[in-house]
Parts: sequence; structure tokens; C-alpha cells
Amino acid sequence: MAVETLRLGMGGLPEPKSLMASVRSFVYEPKAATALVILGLLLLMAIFAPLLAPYGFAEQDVTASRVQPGAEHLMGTDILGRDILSRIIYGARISLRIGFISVGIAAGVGVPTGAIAGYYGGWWDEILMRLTDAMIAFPNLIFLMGVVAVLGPGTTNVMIALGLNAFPLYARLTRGQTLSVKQRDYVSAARALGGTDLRIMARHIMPNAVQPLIVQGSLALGTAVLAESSLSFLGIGISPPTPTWGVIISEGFALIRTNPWISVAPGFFIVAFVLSVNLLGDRLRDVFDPRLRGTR
Amino acid sequence: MVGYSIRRFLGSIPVIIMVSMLAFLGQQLVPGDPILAIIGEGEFAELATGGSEALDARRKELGLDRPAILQYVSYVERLMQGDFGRSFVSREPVLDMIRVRLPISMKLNVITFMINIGMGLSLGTIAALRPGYTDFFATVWAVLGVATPNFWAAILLILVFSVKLGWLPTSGWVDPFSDPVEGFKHLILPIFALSLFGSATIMRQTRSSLLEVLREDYIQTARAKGLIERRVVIRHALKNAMLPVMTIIGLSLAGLIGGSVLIERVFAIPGVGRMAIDAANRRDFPVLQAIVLLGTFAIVGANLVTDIAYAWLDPRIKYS
Amino acid sequence: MDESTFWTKNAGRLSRRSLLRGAAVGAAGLAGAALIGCGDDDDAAGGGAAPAATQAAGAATSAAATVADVQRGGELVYGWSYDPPNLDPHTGTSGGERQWLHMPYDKLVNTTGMGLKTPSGLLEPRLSLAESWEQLDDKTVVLNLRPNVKIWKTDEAVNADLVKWNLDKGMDPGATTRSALGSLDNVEVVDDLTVRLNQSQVSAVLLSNMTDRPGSIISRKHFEDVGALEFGRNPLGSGPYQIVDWQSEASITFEANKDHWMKDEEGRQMPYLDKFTMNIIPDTTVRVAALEAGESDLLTSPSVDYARLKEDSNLQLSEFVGSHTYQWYLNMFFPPLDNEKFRKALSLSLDRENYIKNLLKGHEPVGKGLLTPASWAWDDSIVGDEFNPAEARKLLEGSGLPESEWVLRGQPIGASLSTGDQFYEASHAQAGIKIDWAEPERGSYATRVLVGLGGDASAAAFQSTWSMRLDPDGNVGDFYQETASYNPGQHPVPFLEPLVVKARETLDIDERKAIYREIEQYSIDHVINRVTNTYAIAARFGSSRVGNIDKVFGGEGKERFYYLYNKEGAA
Repeated sequence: MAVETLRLGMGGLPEPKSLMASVRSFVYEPKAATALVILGLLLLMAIFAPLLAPYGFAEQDVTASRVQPGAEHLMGTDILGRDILSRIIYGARISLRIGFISVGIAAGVGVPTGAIAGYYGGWWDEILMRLTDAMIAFPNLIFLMGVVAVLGPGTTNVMIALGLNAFPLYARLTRGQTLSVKQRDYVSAARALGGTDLRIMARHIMPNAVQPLIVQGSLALGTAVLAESSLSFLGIGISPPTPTWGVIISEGFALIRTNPWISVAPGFFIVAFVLSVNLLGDRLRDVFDPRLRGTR
Repeated sequence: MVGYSIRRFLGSIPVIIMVSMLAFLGQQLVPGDPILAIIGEGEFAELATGGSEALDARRKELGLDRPAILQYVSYVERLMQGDFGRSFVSREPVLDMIRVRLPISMKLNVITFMINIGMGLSLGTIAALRPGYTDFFATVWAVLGVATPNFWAAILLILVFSVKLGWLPTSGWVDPFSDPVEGFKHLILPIFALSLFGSATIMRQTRSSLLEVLREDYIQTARAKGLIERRVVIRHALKNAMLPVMTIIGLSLAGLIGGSVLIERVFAIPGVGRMAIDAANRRDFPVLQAIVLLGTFAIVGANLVTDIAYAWLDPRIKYS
Repeated sequence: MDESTFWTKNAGRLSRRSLLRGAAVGAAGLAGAALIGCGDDDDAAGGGAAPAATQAAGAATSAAATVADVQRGGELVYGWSYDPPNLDPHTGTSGGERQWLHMPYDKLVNTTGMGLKTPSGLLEPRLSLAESWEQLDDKTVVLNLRPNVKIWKTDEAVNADLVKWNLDKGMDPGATTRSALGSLDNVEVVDDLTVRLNQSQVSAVLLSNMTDRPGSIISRKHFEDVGALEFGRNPLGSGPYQIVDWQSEASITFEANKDHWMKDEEGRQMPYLDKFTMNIIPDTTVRVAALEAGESDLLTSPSVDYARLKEDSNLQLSEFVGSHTYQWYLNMFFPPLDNEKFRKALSLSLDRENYIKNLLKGHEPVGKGLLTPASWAWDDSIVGDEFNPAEARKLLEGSGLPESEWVLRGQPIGASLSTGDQFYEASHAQAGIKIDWAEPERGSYATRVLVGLGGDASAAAFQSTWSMRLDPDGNVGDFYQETASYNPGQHPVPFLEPLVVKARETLDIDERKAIYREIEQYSIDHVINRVTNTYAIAARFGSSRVGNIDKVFGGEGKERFYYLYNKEGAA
């Protein structure tokens, strides 16, 4: 225990040797391994979409409207006779990109905002947190609708909207962690030893603030993909025929009673994706935090 | 602490002013003509005859024919008198609309919120304390809750419990305080669909914070001192693990106003969330502006509470 | 139930006296006169082909039986999609308000509720506030009002003064109803129950227009009490149902007007119900579920659920063929739509049959012109364009336009690109025509295309629907005149405009029908201002409790609720 405390005091990141051990234990853990496989498959699917998809994502066939899943169309077709599987495969590209990039935007804006506010306190805190409050002040979906309405719909704008919508979460989490961590002895020690603010934040505060952020990030990846589907359900956001999973669900949603496969299949992919990023997030947190080993 | 609270309160005034300006600006930035948006609606998006003269008359009636700056001046004037104007669509006073709908959303969301906290905290604690199957199932439940689009879950619930089994009503709103039995029946499905996400989020954050705190020195010390596990958890760990959880709860408190947008739409509940969606679709700006302002008040308040709760939970945080 | 017997019966039920009195003259008046010429024979003889109006589904009982079994009391619930914004008939602008105006207001003139197929289907004095009318000369019509009609639960008399006040209000330059009352010069009060309508031009359509917004009679006293802004949400009239509770975006509760004057064919007082509730359920799937779960009794059928619900033996069905059209609106000033060959190619490359088969209910009639099979002016011999992408391509190649110009630029769309939009795109692409969609924007088609409604003409066309108006003039007049609101670019229509005016000013029904045939064929051949995709079928499903569901549609394909009753009565 003493050793662990010392290591934390020295910077909070695991040593290279323990990182290797972490990777090994990471893969051996069945939940994480499963999640890794699912996520890997989804990523491969997204990357090699044109090779994998049996049809084009916008290819209509008036003679094959709402065909049930079968040999010709593994996951059936939609009302316009488009192959659902192909749309899902291409959709993986856009949905995953939306997830990762919007979380990136949110963290990229939110983490520095929160760290600065928490670390410097005073007016910095007031101004940045008031700004954050103002952002949070808009109810989520209304905010998203507003941003999309002003910027115009489309993949990039939806990613920006989702990112901006989620950044206050990161800012507040980071600030809370920063406030808590900066009082600790090793931070005071680092400051006494003449560390610059930036260095202290990067070396001492951030690593300790990172766990809840990773947990939040893994959830937020899924949230972003879900939020996109909510926007599509409301008929705003990414415009068909671009096949995000959300768009496919919403186009098939009205047919849920008669042709449920159209919206069930993409829903399954969303759940699989969110499930795997969450399990991975859990595992990552455990691995990042060497103190966990031995407690379970 | 009191001084801090007052300072925070005063600090929120510029936020509200800023938001009111943004809300008005939205009307100028967002494309789409409210008058034409009304015409193009209906079952088949049919168009009613009118001619441009009639449409101009409608614009004049709503003050939309005047330059934006004059519209802004009268918008601020009205706000000062607590008047949010009239809906462009129904021409009802916005304040009356909110007076009817806000309590509906609040009832729906406050109950959901309490269920979320109760379920999230207890499931999260159990999962953290009992690794293995309990943890696994709690985690799977939480992840499914986060991963399932709630409008999608809502429809499935309606199809199973209302159409197939006939146990619960499909949709609509009956006030649970005036008719408890019917009101409760109408609440079950929406609340279930709504709490999937909220409870899962709180549960996960509780679990991970708790796991982290349990490994901290002082907990280990307490354990070494021989304090029994339950008291350790309750007295020390849970309180300390609450910090990030409070942030999440604070955020979902903020979401009380706009959080049930999709669920209100699916279950045909006439709350503020649905009013917001309808207003956005119909470019009904006075309604949108009022909702945004209302949301701002609510969230500024919620943040205030969260920050103060932070200070209470973590004495290491100093405010002065 | 056999359609033609249904029609026979209803025609028979109209007494000769009421026909002579009510059919008196005016637009529809002459329509009625044509029927009188046929004596008391059924409408089929007067109107030609079998009517397409309503048909009851499997489980429904015959018309005779339903009439005999009418139950009084009880309630019916309609699961409807959205809140009508403004029920002031003179200022409302939403198309989705029109059927609800039949609840609180009596109409000066009303339709039988049997569709438009035959001339006698047009106007029905039994259901009209004016119990008879006469055409004094070409430009003068006299309305004889029903005596002893009062605004609901008040002493305010519905008399000539009130009618004049209402019509004057409807002629206000800012009123939505002004153009429909275009021929009206002034309204004269002759005595307490007699109103004289003085027109500045001959109009065959004034009376049938009064079945819609312009003929709605509202309470003057209540209007002045609550004010113009409040009235739309607090409507009051003398109609069969009055609003007693309106929860925005949730429900409207109508209470039956127990003192109403309206009688059914058997002379029994209507409405039969005590209460009628409209529940607003925005989500389609949930709306359908509410009917299936027995929470609502009536449903506007979404196409995707149509086949499934039709199989449900617990449900009844009523259909109205030709309630509206699916169509392109074209601005003919906007290149390449100024090129007739391009327009023709656009029409020829529209795969109407597969649109019907895959996206609609499946048995809609393929579209030709603007008038649907529900109109009395419908002529089966009109030749429409058939899907032929090869021919379309040939036309494009001979159009003088380079292939890069075979594009509809910046086409406005609503909230997002619908499956219908995507179908059109793929269909026209088969001839090489590209559609370049603009960013989604509510109400955008009007803003971008319809110059007559203040549009900026920044886009060439849009595809949407057009709801049938009772008289053909309400349709062609809005498209084929240079200043018409729905002539997208307000392009001159040299050949058609004189015909439109002539038809409006012709009082003989057969002559009018011939003129409309000419208008329709010319506008199809030269693709003027629009391209019809298909004619829609409006369908209402009812629970087994709904009586008289076959009478749910009015002449233009909008609902009338006063005929409905609850088979379980007050129980």
C-alpha cells in the first residue's frame, strides 16, 4: 500500500512494466475481451464497408420493398427496397465517427475548461463555469435542435452540436476532480518544488482526474450515438439517405408493427456498440488504476 | 458558505441576461417562417388557401412585420413585466401554456428523478461491494439502460403492456394527485422508459466512484481499525464517493425540464418537453424563448445546489 | 355494403321538396337541377359512373340497418395527430383545422357527406344553416335562414344580421377566407331571416365555398367578449358540438349541442352522441396502438398499418378515394422547368405505380390531372402520363438542354428527406434527371417556391400534397391563374386562365364539366405548373363501437362527426 501511495505521489501513471502487465490482464478479462472483439469487429466493418456490403447503401429496388430477412437480403430490406445489412455496414462508418469525434470535441473543450476553472479558481472559475452553466442551461434536445437549426443539418454539424452539448459535463467533472486533487500534499509539494502550472496540471492533476472522465467518456460515446438517433427520430439532424444507425431506425420506426426487422437490426448494433465501449471503459479504468489489483 | 451562495446567485444574473439575448437571436438566425410553418402542417402537410395578404395580416398580428431591433425592444419590455408574449401558433399567452404544462413535466420528472437516485445509488453500491455475478448483472442492466434508445423502449413497452396484455394505457396524462389510480397507471410506462437512462448513469458513476474510494488510504485505515464493513461504506466511502455522483445527479436535476422530450412525445403527455419540440418544429419562437429562459433558471438553481453540496461533501474544497 | 345501393338509398331519401328548395340555383344549385331533370331516379343515372366516396369494411352493417339501430348518448374518442392551432374560421391558416370547424359552427351551406362524385352530392339543405336559397339573377343569391337558431347556451340569435357580420368579417383583406368569397360584393339584410348576396361577377362556386371556412357562422358577442386573439382557442357558434375543454396538445372535449336543429334522413335529431373527445397523440405507432387497445374509437389510417388493420375483425373501415393528390409543384419560370420537354420528361419518369404499391395503401388510383375521382367533374377519359423512363430520356436528349442541366436545383424539403423524397429521386434518376435537395427547413417549400404566398422563387419545385376543395374551381382556380396562390411561379397560363374563368361563370353543370375536362387534359399534355403522382385514399378505421362510420367523410374528404353514434349508447 505504501508503494502504491508513493507511486501516485510520483505522478499517478503506472510504470511501463505494470502497463505491460495491465495489457495482459486486460485481454485475459473475459468481459473486456468480448467487448474488445465486438468493438474491433464494428471498427473493421466501418473501415471495410465498401468491401463487405453486398449492396449500395442507397440502392433502391422497387420490386423488393420490405423483403423479410433471408438469403437474398440477410437483414431484409426497407420500404424503398434497400438492403438493411448494407445500410448498417455503411452506417457504422458514420455512427462511429459521430461518436468518437463528438466525444473528442466534448473532452477537448470540456477538460481544459474544467481544469483551468478548478485549478485557478476565483474569476477564472466564475467566468468559465458561468459559461458552462449557460451551455447546460439549454435543455439537451432543444440545444441540439437549435445548433442544428442554426448550423444546418449534416454529419459535421451534428458532431459539433453533440460535442458542444456534452462539454459542460466534462468541464464540471474535471473541475470537481481538480478542486479535490489540488489540495493534496503531492500537488502542494510539486508546486513548492517550482513546477509550472501547466506541468502540475498535466503531470499531477489530470492523471488523477482521469478515471471519472474515462468512465464518463465511455458512456458518452454511447450517449452520442443515441442522441444522434433521437435527433433522427425527431426528423432533424442527419438527413437520409445517409445511413447512420439512428437514421435507419427512424426510417423503419413507423413500420415497427409490420416490418420490425428494419428498426430492430440497427438497434441491436447500437446496443452492441454502447455495451462494448462501456465494458471497455470499465476495464480501462481498472487498468489505469493500479490500486484496483488486489482489491477484487 | 452563505457569502459564497449569495455571490453565486448574483453571478447567475448575467447568465440569464445572456441567455435571453441568445434566445431572441435564435429567432433571427434560425431559418424558417413561423407563419408558413403553420400552413404546411396537418395530416398530409396540405396547404390552406389564403393568399399573401392573409399571411401578412397574420404576421402583423404577431408583430413579425416590424424590424428585428424593434421586436427585440418589445421582447425585453414584455419580459420585464413577466410577459412572455403569445404563441405564434395557438396565440395563447405563453405564460398560461407554461402554467399548465410545467407541473405535468415536473411531476413526471421529479418522480423519475427520485427513482433514478434510489435505483442508481443502491444498484451502484451493491455492484461495487459485490464483485462477481451481482456486479455483472447490475452492470449489464445499466449498460442496457444506457444503450437502449428510450423512445424505442417506450414503443416496445406500449406494444407489450398496452396492446398485447392490455394492462396499462398506451398514452395520455391523468394527474396522479387528482385521480391517483388512473394517474399512476398512466405514469408507469413513461417513468419506466425515462428512468432507464438516468438510473443507469447514476448507478455506473456510483459504482466506479465507490470502487475508487474503497481503495483510498483512509478507508483501508478504517478497515484496519476494525470498523465493520457496512459502517465503513456508509460513514466514509459513500460520502466521499458522492462527489462525481453529485455532478451527474446535478446534471440530471438540470435535465428535469427538458429531459422527457421524447417520452412526452411518444406517450402524448402534454408537458414542457413536447411543447418545446412542437414549438421548434413550428418555429414558435415566443414559446421556445420562454422554455429556454425557464430552463436557465432551473439549471442555474440546480448548479447552485450542486456546488453547495460539493462544499458540504468535500471539506477540502475551500470557497473564499 | 354495395356502393351503388348505398347511393340509391341516399338519393331516395332526399325528399323531392327539399331538392327543389335546396337545389335552387347557384353553382351547386344547377348541379341539383340536373338531378331533378332525372326525376327521382338514383344518382347513378344523373351522375354517371358509380361513386367512389365511401365504402364500409367487412364487419360493417348495411346502411339501412345502421340507420334503424341508431343509439343515443355515450361518447366516442378520436386519436388525432395534432392540435388545430386556430379555430377562428376567418383567420386560421392550417389545412388541418378544416374538419374541426364543422363542430362548433353551423355552415351556411353544407354537403351531404357522401363525396362529390355526383352533382347531388354537392349541397344538402337539410344540413345547412340556410334551409333554402334562390338565385335571383346571375349575380344575386338569396339565403333563407333557418328560424330559431341560437348560439349555444345563449340568447344570441343566428339571424341575418349575424350572417352579414360574419361574411363581412370573412371578406376582410386580412382574412384567409377572402379569396373564396372573391365574387361577393356586399351582403344585404333583407329581413331577420333573409340575406341577399350581391356579387360583382357571376360565380358558380360561391355557395359551395360556403361549405368550408367562409360559411362558418361564429358568435359575434363571444368574439367581441374574448377578442380576436383568444377566439381561435375559445370558439363558440351554434354548431352540433361545442368545445367544453381544450387542453393544448392533449385533448379537446366536445359536448353535444342538445338543442341543435340538424336532422338525419329519418328526421331524427343529430348529433346522437353526448360527447366527442379528440385526443392528440403525436406518434403514429402509439396512435394506432391506442385504437387497438380500445382507448380510441377512430383513427386516420397510416399507409404502413393499413393492410394489417384491415385484417382486424374488430375494426371497421371507411374510405374516401381521392381526398387529395400527391404532386409536384413546378415554377415554370425556373430553368430547366421553362422547357416543356423537360417537364414532360419529369412527368414520364415518375414511377407512380410503384409509389402506390410500396409507399401507399396499394389501391390508390394513378394520378392524371388535378381533380380526383371524387370530384363530380372527374372524367375517366382523360389521358395521363405513364411511367416511361426511356421515352423521358429521349425527350431530354431532344430538349436542347445539356445533360448537366437535367437538374432540379435546391429542392426544398421539410424536416428531413422523407422516404417519399428518396423515392422520387431514384425514380427520376432513371431518366437522368437529378434532384439536388436543399437543407431541411420547415415550411420551406412555400418560402422558396410559392411566389403567391410570399416565396422568393429560389427553388424550382417541390413535391407535396393538395387537398381537394369541394368545387373544381377551388382546385383549378388556385393553380391555373396567373395570380393564383398555388401557381408556384405565378407564370402566365394563357390557354387555361380564360377557361378557368369561363367555368367559374358558367352555371350549367354539363358545360362546366366539359370545360374542366379541357383544362385537365391541356394541363397534363403541357405539364402546366404541376405533375400529379397519385390520388390519395383517406381511410378512417373505427372500433366496433362506432356507428355510421360510413358517413364520416364530408364532400371534400374531411370528416363530419355529427353522423357518428356509439353502438353501445350511453352504457
